[in-house]
Amino acid sequence: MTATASRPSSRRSSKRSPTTAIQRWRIGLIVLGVAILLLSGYILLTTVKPTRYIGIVEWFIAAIIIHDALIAPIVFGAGVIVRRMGRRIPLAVLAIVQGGLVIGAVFTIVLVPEILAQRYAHLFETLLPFDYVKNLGILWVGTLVLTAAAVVGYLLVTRVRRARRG
Amino acid sequence: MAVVLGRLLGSAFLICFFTGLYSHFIQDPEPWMAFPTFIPNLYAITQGVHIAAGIACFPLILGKLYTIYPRLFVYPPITGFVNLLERASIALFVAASLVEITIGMINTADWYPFPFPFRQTHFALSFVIIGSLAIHIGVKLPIITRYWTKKHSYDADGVLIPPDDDEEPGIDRDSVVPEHGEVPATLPAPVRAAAEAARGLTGRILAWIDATPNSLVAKPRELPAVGMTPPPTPAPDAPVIARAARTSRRGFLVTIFASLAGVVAFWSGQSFKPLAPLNLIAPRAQGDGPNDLPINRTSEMAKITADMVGENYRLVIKRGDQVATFTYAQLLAMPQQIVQLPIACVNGWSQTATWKGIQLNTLMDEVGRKPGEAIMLTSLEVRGNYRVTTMGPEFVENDLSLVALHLNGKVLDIEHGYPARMIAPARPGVLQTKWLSTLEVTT
Repeated sequence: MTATASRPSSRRSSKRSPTTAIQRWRIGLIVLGVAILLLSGYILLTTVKPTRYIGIVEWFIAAIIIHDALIAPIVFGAGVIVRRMGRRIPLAVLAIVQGGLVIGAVFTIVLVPEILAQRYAHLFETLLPFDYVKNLGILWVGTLVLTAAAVVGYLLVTRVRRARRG
Repeated sequence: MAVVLGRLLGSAFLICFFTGLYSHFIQDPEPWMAFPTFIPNLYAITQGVHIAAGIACFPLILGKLYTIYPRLFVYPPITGFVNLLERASIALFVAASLVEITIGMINTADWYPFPFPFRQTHFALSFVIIGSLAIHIGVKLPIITRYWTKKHSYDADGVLIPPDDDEEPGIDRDSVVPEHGEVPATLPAPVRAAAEAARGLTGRILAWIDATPNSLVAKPRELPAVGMTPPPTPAPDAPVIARAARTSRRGFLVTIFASLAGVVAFWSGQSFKPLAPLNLIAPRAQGDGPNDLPINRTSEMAKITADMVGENYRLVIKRGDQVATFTYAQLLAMPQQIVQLPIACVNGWSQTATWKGIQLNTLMDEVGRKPGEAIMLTSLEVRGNYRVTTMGPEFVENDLSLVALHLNGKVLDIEHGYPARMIAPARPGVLQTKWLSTLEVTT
């Protein structure tokens, strides 16, 4: 009787234990996170003048707007256009083309601050030694060439495979 | 995919955080702190990794945000107080992360167009990010553990397995499988799953993008003859849909990793010699500058005049009442050592160079240096954050630490600190004091 009664309970506990462990980790992580956030507030209060906080908030808002209202919709819109316009083009080819465009865009994002810095920052010897506009062009051309090569490679491979299948 | 990118991004954030802490405390050490010197390139490695991981965050965070973008438009936007806090913490997390990596990247170009102090803000925001990251992982832990491995994430057809209430009661099902209402039950299971996973306007558009009819429908092998009625378009079957989803998924991940590899490869040549020929986008180039080495602060910025480093130049060594003064000629006449050490800048660039000069511990012996003593270094520069710095005994006693007079086989250029500068292993460039004026024992 005792053995029968204990069986479901042990089964229940063994089933519940991973969840309990996860719950403990969740609580621990959230408490740790809140503590670190409080520490970050203390660091900010003790090292940055309050008159500068508004500048930080402005940059936060600008970052959200630039990403959520500019970058993401553009990427999203480009995805819609490429995918839906390219109805007669294989999906893999569309994915490769999209990939090439995104890689070029990431290079652009990384290089734009340097291009602006060359114009607006106080430059001195050995700082920003390259022509970054030209190098961005080289990277775009390289990306487009590799993208085209990948598309051609994919089409050749699929054609050979189809031919083998008969 | 959100889990795959999330753990990479989380790892990059942690790498940046710990290497950043190391850089912060080696520049502003607590009195009890000592730093390892047994790897001369240690700071070049930690700071090079810090910058490379920070640059890698760009494709990772953009990819991660793309995968969760539809969640921005869930309706209703707020379902309760806890949900409000969660969404607010995500907004803080995303904003802090974007600002942190952006100002970090701008700073590598020695440009400060910020309405706030860079270093203090960069330091404080790193704690905001790590705190928000811990909260985010805590909130999403059931989903993270559920989708940690590919094997347990997709079924035999390659379709994402929704979480099971019995198996994972803690999962916020809304973030994986939203409400069903508008998904027709007659659709094949994989289509239904894909449509169900699409929540909100953008989520549905995402599913619509992936459901390009031409790619999902098996094409008839032969086109019908002119005048014949084309056969009805066959409905997509599960393997075809799964294959399309797999292609989209793979294309997305390959894109993220290729852009990550690209920016890191074309950037890291400023600190990693094998990649120097690929350096197209870094703010510095190895071998570029006086004595074939880049500089970070010019003599003009430091207001060093010819008179200050001319015949009147003296290097003063002090320990209490004991004072020794050296002219440049006297320094040149002392025994010289040659070492290979890097200049490793806080901005991430680094380059190993050949230095020749007087061993620091030998020089400090002239005023009766004792083991365990730290020193204070003062530069001739009129003002600057690093005009006066301290150096712990672990650096003073290291045989590689020199008061350098020559660099790469030539007399030290004034831009590199002529007449004499400090060079020590595993130390940031800002602490390798140029235009040395005084070395004074402090403890």
